Amino acid sequence: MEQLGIEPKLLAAQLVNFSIILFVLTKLLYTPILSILEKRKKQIEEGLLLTEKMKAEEIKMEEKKEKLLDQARKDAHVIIEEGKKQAKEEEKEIIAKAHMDAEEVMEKAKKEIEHLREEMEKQMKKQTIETAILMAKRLLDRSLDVAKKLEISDKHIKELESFSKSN
Amino acid sequence: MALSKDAKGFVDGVVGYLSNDRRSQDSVPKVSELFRKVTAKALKEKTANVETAIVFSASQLALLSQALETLTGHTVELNVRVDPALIAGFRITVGDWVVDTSLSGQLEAMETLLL
Repeated sequence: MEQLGIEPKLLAAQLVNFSIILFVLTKLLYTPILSILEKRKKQIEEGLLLTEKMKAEEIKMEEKKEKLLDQARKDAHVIIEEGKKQAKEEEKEIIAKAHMDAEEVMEKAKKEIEHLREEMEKQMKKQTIETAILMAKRLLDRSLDVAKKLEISDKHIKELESFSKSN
Repeated sequence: MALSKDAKGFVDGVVGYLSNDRRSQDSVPKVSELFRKVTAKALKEKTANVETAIVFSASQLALLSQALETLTGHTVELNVRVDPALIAGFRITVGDWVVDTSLSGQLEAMETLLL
């Protein structure tokens, strides 16, 4: 070993030094660093796991959201359809009622017109008769002379006489 | 004042109608139908109100008086009044018994019937 230039004592001392350094480094640096790294690795793994879990949860939520949206769309469609149907029925009812109201108004108007017509006819008839009678009175009064009036009176007296005898 | 041809025709028609020259029985009653049986109340009356269209002669009044006497069974005093509005004929009122043979009365009866 001496021929090779290696001092056994020095070598032994260096080995001891190295062992001591190794021991110290192992105890003071390597183990804590390893521990820290292990801890960090664990944290990262947990983070990744959580991330995966969150992603899965997100997908699940997305699906749920889609489902809910689909359901909401379907519900909305049903509501709109029902609304349309109801609106159509109401429209029909309103139209039918409007027709009925219009018919009622027409009927009432017809009756009123008929009533007015009858009233007017009645009035016209009354006025015509009254005028005719008045005219007849005036014309008779102007046209019958005393002789004719006497003749009529005589005739009526005879009729009264005849009536008195028969009763 | 002379009447026009149409007016004369109208008057003749009305006079004829009211003088019972018509054959129809469904409108104004004949003069003879105007005489109704004397009511009990009228039988007790002693006075008759007579309205005439023209002044009646004494003979006409006598005939009227006689007819009323026959109808009531006793003498009736005539209370005569001239009313030209009657046109022709007369109206007798004895109590609630009324006989109206006047043309005016018949025209009014016709008016009532037509209305």
